[in-house]
This record gives sequence, C-alpha cells and structure tokens, in this order.
Amino acid sequence: MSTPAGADQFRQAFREEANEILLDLEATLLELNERRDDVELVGRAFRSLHTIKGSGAMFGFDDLAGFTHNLENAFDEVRSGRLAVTADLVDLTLTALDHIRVLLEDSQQGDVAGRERLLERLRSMIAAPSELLMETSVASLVEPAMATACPETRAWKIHFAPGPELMRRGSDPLQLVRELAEMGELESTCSIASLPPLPELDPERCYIAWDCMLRAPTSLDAIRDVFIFVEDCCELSIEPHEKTAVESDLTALALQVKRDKCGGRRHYDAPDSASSIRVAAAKLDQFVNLVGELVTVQARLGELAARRDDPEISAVAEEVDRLASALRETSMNVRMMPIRSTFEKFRRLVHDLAGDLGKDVELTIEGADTELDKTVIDQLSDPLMHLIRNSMDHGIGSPEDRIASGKPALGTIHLAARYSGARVLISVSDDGRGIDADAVRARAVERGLIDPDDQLNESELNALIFQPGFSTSKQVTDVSGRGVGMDVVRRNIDKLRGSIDVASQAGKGTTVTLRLPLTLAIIDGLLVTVGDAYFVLPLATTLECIEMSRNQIDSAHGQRLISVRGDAVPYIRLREHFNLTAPLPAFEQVMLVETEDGRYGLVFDRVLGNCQTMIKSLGRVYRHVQTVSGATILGNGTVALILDPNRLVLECIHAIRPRGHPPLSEKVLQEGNCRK
Amino acid sequence: MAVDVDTREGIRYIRLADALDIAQAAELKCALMDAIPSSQRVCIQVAAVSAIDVTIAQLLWAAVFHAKSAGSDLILEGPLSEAVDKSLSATGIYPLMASLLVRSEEEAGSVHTSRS
Repeated sequence: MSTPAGADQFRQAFREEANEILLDLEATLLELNERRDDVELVGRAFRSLHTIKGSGAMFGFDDLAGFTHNLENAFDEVRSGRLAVTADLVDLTLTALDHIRVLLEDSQQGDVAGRERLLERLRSMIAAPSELLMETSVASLVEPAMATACPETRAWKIHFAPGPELMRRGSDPLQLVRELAEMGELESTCSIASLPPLPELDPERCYIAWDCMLRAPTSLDAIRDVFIFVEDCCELSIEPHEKTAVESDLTALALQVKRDKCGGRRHYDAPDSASSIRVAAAKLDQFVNLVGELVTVQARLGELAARRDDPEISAVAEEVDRLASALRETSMNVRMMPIRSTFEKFRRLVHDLAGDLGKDVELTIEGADTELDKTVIDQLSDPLMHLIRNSMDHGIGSPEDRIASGKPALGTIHLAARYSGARVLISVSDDGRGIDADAVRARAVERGLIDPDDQLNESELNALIFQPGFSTSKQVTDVSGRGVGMDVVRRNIDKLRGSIDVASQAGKGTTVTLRLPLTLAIIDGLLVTVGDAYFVLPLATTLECIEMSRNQIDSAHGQRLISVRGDAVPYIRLREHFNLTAPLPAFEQVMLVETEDGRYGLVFDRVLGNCQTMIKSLGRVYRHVQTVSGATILGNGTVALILDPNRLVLECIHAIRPRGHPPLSEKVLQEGNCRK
Repeated sequence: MAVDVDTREGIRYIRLADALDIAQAAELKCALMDAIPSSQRVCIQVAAVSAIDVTIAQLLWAAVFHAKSAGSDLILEGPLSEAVDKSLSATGIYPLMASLLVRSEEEAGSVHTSRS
C-alpha cells in the first residue's frame, strides 16, 4: 500500500505512542490480576484498548484495529458486569498485547492463525457464563444502574473544562459537545470566565468551559466514552441530575475514586503543571554532541583569553564559560530519564516466568523515579533481564521447597534503584536459596578457573559466576543455582563503565548490585600529565594524592609498592604502562584509586586540576583498548585519554596472574613488576 | 488567504474566510494585536467564514474586550454563514458569537459611516 509523504512519520509516531500505551496497559492488567474488582483499573484497560483501536484505524493499521476491537469488546463486557476478570482473561489479553506489538511493527504481517485462535478463546470466554461473575461483577459493585445500558431517558449534569494541552493534542472540544448533543436533548452553557486579556492569550489553548444538561436514554459509561481520549487533559464531572438515594452514595463513591486518582481538582496553571514534547533520540544525541563541541571551543577561548590578558576578551570568555556550563548541564538533564519504565516492564517477565516455572513470585519495585542517562537505561534491560531470570529460575525455589524450608510460598524479587554520589546503585534481590559457595568453588576448580588450594574471599568467589562458560553449564546451575548468562551481564555492565557486586547468604537469598555512572556522555575527572601526555582519571574513583620521591622508588628494590600510613599499596606507573619516555621529574605523584580489586596507586608527573569533560569515543579501531574508556579534547587542542582505573588494574593483574591466583599485592611483592 | 488585512480610509479591515481553526489562531492573534490599538477603528469581517473552532471564537471575544479597554472601536461584521450557524448551534457558543455581531449590513454600514 502506498502512503502519502509524511504518513510514515505519523505512523512511526503512532507506533511509539502505542508501545507506551501497551506498556502501561500491561502494568494495568497485572495490577488488575491482583485486584480483580477494581473498577478504575478495568476502565483504564478499556480506554487504553479503545485508544489503540481508534488511533490504529486512523493510521491505517486495520488488522490491528480490528483485533483490538475484540479485546475492547471483552473489557466493555467486564465494565458492564457481564464478564468477570479472571487469570485466564488477563493471560489471554497479555498474549494478545504481544500480538498487537507484532502488528505494530508490520501491519501486514502477524500470525493470522494465531490471531484467530486468540479471538476464538476470547469469544468463548465472553459466551461462557462465569462462575465468578456473581462474586466479582465489577460494574455492579459501584455503578449498578449507571454503568450498564440505561433504556430510560435520564438527565445528566456534565461539567467539561479542557486543559491547556487538549487543543494541541488535536482534540476539538466543540466536536465533543456536538457528540453529546447527538445523544439526546442538550442544553449547553459555555463560560468565558477564564479568558485572559488578548495579549496574554495563548492562541492554541481553549479557555472555555461548558456546563451541560443532557437528557438522553444513555449510561454514565456511554457519556464518559465521549471524553475517552481527553480524560487525562480536562476537568470532567458527570452526574445524574436526579439520583436515587443509593445512586447518590455510589456516584459520590465513583467520583471520589476518580478524584483520588488524579489528586482532586486539577489546577492547570499551577507552576508544576507538566507538559512535554516527544523528541527523536537521534536529535537529542546530536544536540548533546554539539554542546560537547561548544564546550571544547569554550575551553580554547578560555585559554586564548588567558594568553592575551585582554580584559574585554576575558569578560566575554567568562560569560561564554558560564553559559556553556549551564547549557552542558541542561543538555545532560534533558537526557536523564526515570528508570521506572524499564523496571515496570519486568512485571510481565516475572508474571510469565512464574507461570512457566510453576512458582509464585511477586516483584517489588523501589526508587523507580531515580534518573539515569537515556543511553545507560537503554543498555540496562538485558542485564536486568538476565539477573531476574536467574533469580526466578535458580534462586527462588518451588512453593513446596520454600514451605519445606520455612519460607512463605510466595517468593519475592526486589528491584531497587538509588543514588550514591555520582553513581546509581541498582540492585536485584531475591529471597531464594542463595549461592552455594561450595558448589561454585568445586565447579571453578573443575573448569581450571582456580587451583584447589586457592584461598578466595566471598567477593572473589562470587565473581567466578560471571566467568564465560560458567553460566552455560547446566550441572552447575542445578547444583549451585546460579550462573546462566551472568557473563553477558558482566560484559554489558563493563561497557557501561559500571561494576557488579554480589552478596549472598545460603538459604536467605542473593543481592546483585550494579554500580552505574549517571551518564556516559560526561565525566568529572582529574587532569594529569606524564611528560607531554594528558590523562583524565574519573574523579569518582580517586581517593587521595601523595608524592613519591626517587629515593622511595629506589629503596623499594623494584617492588611497585608505596607505604600509605603503614599500609603497602601497589601502584602502576603510567609512563611504564604506556611506554612514555619523557624525562623523569624529581617527585612523581601517586593518585590512590578505589577499584573492584582494592586500593591501587596510579603514578604520573603532575596534577593539573579538576575537569568536567565530554567523553568522545575512540572509535572502532581502538575498541579493544579496554584501559581507556574514551578521550576528550582539551582547551589547547590536545587530546587527553580518559583512563578506566578498574580495567587498568585488572589488565595488570591479568598480565601477571592469568587465572584465579593470589591478589595482585602479593604478586607484586613476589615479582616486583606489573608492567603489561 | 484565510486572514487578510488591509487599511482603507482609516479603518483596519481584517477579513476572515474559509475554515479557520487552531492552525490560523496565532496568525489571527498577531493581526488583532497589530490592529488594536494602533488603529482607532477595526472591522473584522466574518461573512466568508465557513467554519470556526473554539480558538478562533475565543480570540474574537478577547479582541472585543481588548479593543474596549484600549479605547478602539471594533465591530464584527456578519452575517455568519449558515454552515457556521449550524455547527455552533448545539455548542453553547452561538449566542455569544451572535452577541458580538453587528445585526445587519445596514447597521454595519451606519457604523462605518458614523465612525469614518
């Protein structure tokens, strides 16, 4: 089918919006499965399906619209009290959502036979009288007379005040009032009390409100359906004009529920009134890149101003510096997103896996509003999915096993996020069996990862489960209960410049904590030099800086160790590691850094000071250089390499300790060399 | 053009035509802001309008109030077309629109004459 120019853009916009609605709908269905008599949830599910159907038809997704129409009908039956919410209905609808996703990607494709089977199940579900209906007839709980079809003509009082975004979203309030008029006899009065003076009037906003009296043989739901696409961006109340005593109570209850959900009356002009626009991620990336370029030029301007010693240039340079800093911060904030949507989508995974594995598991979420750079969030889904699958598959036992071990049959997976300095900690905890340390050790010995007499602490032992191959062994999985896909987790988190920590207690559960940077685009660092080479050390890893004289080096007899308040700390000399041949200064500087393998020193010539830099990729050619996480361009045009202390230390450890051997400090003592 | 502006004999004419909606609202607001109070006399002609939405209706009301407070004479010259009449009739907007209009061509003519 040929589409007019620009139509693809709208179809893509619809796809994106529909995917968001589907995510929300999925969460609603899972919530509904827990609270099957919640009228608001049923209404929300119905409205989501209605929106997908309506917009789908508008953008030419005819199969999708037709298919969704059947689901919408089913939820209309639930709304009307003729069909009960059951686990089967929820599962069937969730499966149907997957099918809608396929149709969204390609409106011409989709498994037609599978779709028919789903529809057949749905039809038989609607046709079969439900035993649960008597107990959980949703509509009958709150709106017995109002929700169902109402053959008698009744009078309804309707107040409708469009919000600021309603017109911009393409809705026409006059059309909505006309639709009401088509239902019966309508008396409408419009108020212009909120109309501001002409100079202050926003021409794309509706300031008019309507108070209507509708006399029609119609129900509350039918009237609400008129406003179905605008309910979230308007002030709306619908009440029967004359109510029976019972209805008065129930209406009050129904409206109360609605007001509670939206926090009472809406105040659109309040300062916190939220509005947003959708921007393509590529445009955002381009914006951030350009800001990065600007920051580089600003640094050059700063250097130039310092050299010229001209007060006028200096003043302009300072102003540009201030603006560039503000712009950089703003551009970084634009990319920050709450992790909520990533967390929420795991509810479906847990629900489906629990069904497949015959386990009873609930997912609890904490800190979903924690914000991270979009790039980090985009790359977090896979590692989190692996961790949750592992917890579900191997950590949490069957209900019988759990009861036998004195635990409740319902297992819990807790997903949490919180800030910790310039990092975000994301943890996946379960209350399952925990890691069987003996089994992990035995398997590691069997695979030659460690020697039988190696003394490993808990952290080192747990780190073994991230070894490639360790995870794919079914034997270990059965015995230890951990490991599938953990190397994938490690690789992904490494790519994000993050780290992983595992804490486990046999019989109690396991917590895997991911430490991630807030952003991948910018870094707070310490600019250092070796000769005329510049390096940036991530500030988050630095502890303290101390001086080291030639005498200290000479008296160490080749051992790369420095004494820090009585503790021997191993160090790595950057000039040796990078083969730099610049003249040696009388005093070198040692920056102590905290790495996953403990405290180490990085030795260089001079500290130039703090810097906040945009990280530039080194490109594909240098993708295998793990010790350098990127580069940045300094004000004088020089390139500074951004070091990854964790990787640097790890590479040195591997250079002298290829497999699970004693810690580096011991090896350094023995071998006195950690050069690559 | 849906919003056409010209000045003759000291009167600023804003001629509206065809279907007007949110897409033309910003342009109409600019025209109104430009006309009031720089011109003492403003005439908005709506006879050629085939449809309006709520953004246009509220701009016209706001313009009338703004002209009053700025000391300009502003008239809305009709009549409204049958299509506009029909589309507004059920919405509660029609009575307010009608109240802004000068009642007849004669009345409009007399206003023009007396004002010019």
